[in-house]
Amino acid sequence: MTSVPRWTESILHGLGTDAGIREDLLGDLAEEFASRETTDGTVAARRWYYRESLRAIPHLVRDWRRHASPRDVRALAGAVIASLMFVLTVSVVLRLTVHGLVMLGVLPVSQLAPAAAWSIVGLLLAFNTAVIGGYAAARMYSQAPVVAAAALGATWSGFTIVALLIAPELPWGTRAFAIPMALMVATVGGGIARACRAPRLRTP
Amino acid sequence: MVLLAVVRLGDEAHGLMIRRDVSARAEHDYSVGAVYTTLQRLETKGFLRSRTTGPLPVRGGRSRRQFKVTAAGQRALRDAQRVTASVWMGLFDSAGEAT
Repeated sequence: MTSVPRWTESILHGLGTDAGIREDLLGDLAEEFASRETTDGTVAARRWYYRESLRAIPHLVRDWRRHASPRDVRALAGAVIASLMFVLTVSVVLRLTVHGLVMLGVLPVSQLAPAAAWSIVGLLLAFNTAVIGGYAAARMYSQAPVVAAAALGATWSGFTIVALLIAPELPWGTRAFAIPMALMVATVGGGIARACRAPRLRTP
Repeated sequence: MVLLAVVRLGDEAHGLMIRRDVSARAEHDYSVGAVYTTLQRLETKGFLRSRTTGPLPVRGGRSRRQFKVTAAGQRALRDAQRVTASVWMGLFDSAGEAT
């Protein structure tokens, strides 16, 4: 018998819902997975597991929201603010480092299209920073790491959308939605990476 | 439907079997999360009580939670049956045609 997809299990664990309902749900998923693996094969069983895990996420998030005390919400807000400050610092340091390397000639930036090259560098830096930020938020709010990373992603994406809207030129279309969505995905990815690493979340 | 499934399943009334029963009878694939949210709500209202078994290897070492309908749950079922019967009364004749 193959074991259930561990990282998917870690993500569900990282949604911070009540331990009782979470363990019952994960146990049912594991038991149904084992049954389907016997009758339908491993590939079909995994496909079912991924689909059911996705369907379970809204219920688990609603359950976390229902059980979250004002103290939990304050702790979450604190984690988001702290990780935003951390992300800002990392972002400034990274950009200064890259600019310094370019000025020293260590990092060649294309002379033919410097604006495009800088845009790409900027986006890559933002993406990396978002992953680090998501990881940091998840680490700071260990009771629901994926929720913390998603909250950071939503906040940061919101700021980005506002910045795009008040920019002198309005880049509607792909860019207006691609950047905030990429930031959201990157921060949640960082949170998931943390949820998968946390030792207490590993199931026997 | 979840309460009825718990009554019907008896000692086999745990999350997995309840979901399978409800999904089969409703001809709709309900998610695991939806069933557990409902079970938790029913337990909070006092219509169900639960107990956990020992850890089971097939569940990744997790225990299984079994449910039973309480007296309050049975009263709620009887009330629902009575209300449903009165709503349907007189709508269809003996041939199954709408009156």
